[in-house]
Amino acid sequence: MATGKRSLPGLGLMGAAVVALALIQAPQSSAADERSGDAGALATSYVGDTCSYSDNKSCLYLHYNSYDPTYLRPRGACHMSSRTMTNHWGVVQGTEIVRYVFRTYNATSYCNYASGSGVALVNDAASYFNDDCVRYQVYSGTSGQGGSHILSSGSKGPLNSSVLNTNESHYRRGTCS
Amino acid sequence: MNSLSRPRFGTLARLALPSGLVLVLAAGTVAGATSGDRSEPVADDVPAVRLLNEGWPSAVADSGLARDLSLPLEKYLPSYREMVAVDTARREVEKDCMTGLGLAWTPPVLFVDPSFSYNAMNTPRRYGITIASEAKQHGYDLPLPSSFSSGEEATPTDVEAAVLKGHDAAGKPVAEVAGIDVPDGGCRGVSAEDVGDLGDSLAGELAGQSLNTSEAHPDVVAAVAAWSACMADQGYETDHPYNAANITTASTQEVAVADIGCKESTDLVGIWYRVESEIQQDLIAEHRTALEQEAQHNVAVVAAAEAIE
Repeated sequence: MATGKRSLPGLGLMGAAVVALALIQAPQSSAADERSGDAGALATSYVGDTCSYSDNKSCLYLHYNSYDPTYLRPRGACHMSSRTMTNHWGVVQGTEIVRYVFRTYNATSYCNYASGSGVALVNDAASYFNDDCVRYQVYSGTSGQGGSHILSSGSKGPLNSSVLNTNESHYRRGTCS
Repeated sequence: MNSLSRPRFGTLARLALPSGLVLVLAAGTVAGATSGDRSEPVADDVPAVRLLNEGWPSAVADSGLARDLSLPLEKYLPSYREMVAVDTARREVEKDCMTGLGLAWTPPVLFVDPSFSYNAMNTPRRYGITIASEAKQHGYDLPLPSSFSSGEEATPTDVEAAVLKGHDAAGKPVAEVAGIDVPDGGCRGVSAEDVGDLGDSLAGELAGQSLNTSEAHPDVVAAVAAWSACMADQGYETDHPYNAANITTASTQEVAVADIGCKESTDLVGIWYRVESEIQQDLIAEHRTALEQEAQHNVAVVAAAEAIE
């Protein structure tokens, strides 16, 4: 783990980039809760899906678990996305804090393993599956700062040591239509 | 039933990779028949990729505190130009594959939102932001190309997704769908076989190791502490350049400008770069043979991509 990682996210100045978030219920026990008190009276929601595809078939999946090549897809809870995220910690939208987390989804398809469900996305991703049509670049710092790992379309595997458990932002490098 | 023997390559106009602009145009006939769960097929003269012609990164930063800096491992990492060549060729192969099976192909727009790093080293922002002019205008955000617009993107149909990717939503391989014989690995598999994937598993891993190791080096620790003290003198409490973007007591532009000023006065970027350069030189010496093999693989992949016409 790199030193000097964040302790408190910015509040109120980083909300502009978020579009169409799928809000989910806060997990009962979540690492994301650890810092939620920092934001005072703001309500907090926990989001594991920032993928705009209606059926979540063509997303970038960032997984909590390490990559295991014996399985068709990375296992464990995931955060699915199809857009740029400048801060994996989350974002403040008006009077609400949106925290990004890993979640378990469809029991028969993607992200179908409970390990990591509800854990905060920031600095805790270990593997990925880029099922989108374009590349993504994951960074160890917010806003595209730090080391990075470029993920080609269709690829899957472990995140390398540039961003392994130090993921703080990612950028989508194109659009599909 | 449609079936695919091999994708067609002969109808594509040659792709060119001059500085700043690439556009690939396909010429030929309208793609084949329609059937079942699919949208309208597209004409072959629709480009398989669309690239913005601005905001392309240079190989070495030409401004800011990282100007002219290049880390030793960068020569082993796939470059922006190589990624464009490979992705362009692969999308062309996939387009031929999809349209050959009578399916729609919506050309992606590659390498936007915002301008891409030249390679995964991300040298201009590796030690945090370094360009004062960008900081004044955008704060910590990466500037978007002026022509970029993000619109709604269509979700592929089940058939399109299965044929393109060769698997269903659960990741299970699909051999046939809606009467279409799906090539092994889908049309992505076809393009992977014909072009290949750029590799950076070793170089990328070593780049991460060098960054993490350098971050704990006494010279870097001291430089970060000096930078943090400088920031504190200006009223900003932060312990690390990656965390400065979280400061909310001032505008992002004000903090970013102060950040760069403190980096300049403490020589943080120069110190960190020199420490990491030495670490990377040692890593290269230790892994030279494997790194050269990875680089040779990438040369072959780019050559295969450039042979797609």
